[in-house]
Amino acid sequence: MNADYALLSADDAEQAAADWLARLDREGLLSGPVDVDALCDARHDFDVWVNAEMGHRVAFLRAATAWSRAERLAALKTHDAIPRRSILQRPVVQMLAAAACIAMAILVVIPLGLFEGASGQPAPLHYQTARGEMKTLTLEDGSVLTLNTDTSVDVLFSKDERQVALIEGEVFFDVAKAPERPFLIDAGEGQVRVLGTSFGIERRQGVVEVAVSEGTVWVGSAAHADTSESILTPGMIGYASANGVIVETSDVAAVDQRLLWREGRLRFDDTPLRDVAAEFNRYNTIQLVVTDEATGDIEIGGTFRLDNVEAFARLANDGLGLDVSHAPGRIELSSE
Amino acid sequence: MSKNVDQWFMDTVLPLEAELERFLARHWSDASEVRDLRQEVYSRLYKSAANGLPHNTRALMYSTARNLIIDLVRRKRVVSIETVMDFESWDVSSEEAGPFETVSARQELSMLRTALETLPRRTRDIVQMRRVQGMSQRETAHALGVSEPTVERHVSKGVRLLADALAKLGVHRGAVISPANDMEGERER
Repeated sequence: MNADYALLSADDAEQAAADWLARLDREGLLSGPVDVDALCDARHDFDVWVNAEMGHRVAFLRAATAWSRAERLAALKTHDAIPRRSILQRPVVQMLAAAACIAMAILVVIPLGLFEGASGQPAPLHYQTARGEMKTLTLEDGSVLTLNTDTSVDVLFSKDERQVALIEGEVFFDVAKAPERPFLIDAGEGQVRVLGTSFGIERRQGVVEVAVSEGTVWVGSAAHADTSESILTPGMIGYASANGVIVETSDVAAVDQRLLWREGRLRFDDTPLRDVAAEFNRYNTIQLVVTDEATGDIEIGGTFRLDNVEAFARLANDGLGLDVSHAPGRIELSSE
Repeated sequence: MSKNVDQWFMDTVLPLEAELERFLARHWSDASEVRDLRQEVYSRLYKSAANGLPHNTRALMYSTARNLIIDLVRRKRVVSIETVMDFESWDVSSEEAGPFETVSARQELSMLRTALETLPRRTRDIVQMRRVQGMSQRETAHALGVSEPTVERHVSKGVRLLADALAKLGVHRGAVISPANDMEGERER
């Protein structure tokens, strides 16, 4: 770095730390949890190095953490013995039986109009993703937006307000707390106001879905600019449309599941194949096509890579015995 | 004493690495220096935690990052107009403790597997023999017909690449919970 202010080079420190780690590992000193003090007792020269600079110590802790996490890979030894077929975790019959078990309290909430005009503002910043693409943005306030496939947003920050317009698609928001500077989201049919929290919003076919994993979120419908508001807390999913807002009380685990796309995965529980196909089709150019009603009714459970539609089709073939035929740009699934 | 701080650093600071680097990249014009800044933030965080563990690591991390950048700017570097403007609207007090997401053992495993797949082949094989098969470096060298220093070099390279890959994958990741029985399907590769 700059000569006026020499920072320790991260590269040098990390290289030295990795070399030390490899050496200690070769000598069999790295079993069990990371214990720098014990290593210092065992090796005087390591003691000298690791305590010479704070940067050495943190670099070593970083390397040792990665190495010790990697020990969990030993689990693969057994996992690889499991036949591929196990990806479809439960038999279809069981899936059907479980379908009715999801109890949810539904309450209708009166919507809230939130966006009073902020005129004379500078132009918003525009961000978008293509099909299958995901993008993470860190905004000036430290809020982090994760854009899912086919998404477009405008971001406009002023002194008093932070505004994001969700034009289309799905976004996970991790909003930095700033009570005096509310964070407002205009998603067309639904308006959302938060102070500092995390949640996902999806805008699709006239409905805005808000799934809350942390904090409190106010949701209102654009069409009903009344005075009431619906308040979502963790584990709740709100659906705002031209008809108002409906809130589904679920649990945090269910909400987190809905947000698995951030890790590049999709999870289904007793989900009809036609919905599964629609979900895959959001992310991929190769489209899954279910050719008949009966096949579309088959329920699927499991977690899948959202970008690997071929693998899913193979599994549908192996696990469910479906007919899979490939055509340009599409994969057809049928029962016979 | 230092053991507590070490543990705090590994459990609480390291999972924030991707977030920290994004923040630094956003506020520092030279991307090639972000790692050095991150490293310096780590050192400062560690030093301050040695005098007492913070209640809110994330908030401390952001204010430390901000102070570091201010230090550097004061030492008269060429600073882009954008950076200066960011400063004025920059309210670090708003960076409150965010959620620490937890990951299941299965998610952790698939993350590790993804990280492993980013390694060059030879290095990956050696890391696999060492970590998956549980062979010692000597046994690994023997099995591959190479010298022990060669294995050691690959372990060094492997751990560096793994640390970087895991930091990239482990955005907002906290501790690992609920070991065995989450009902996820086996991940397709």
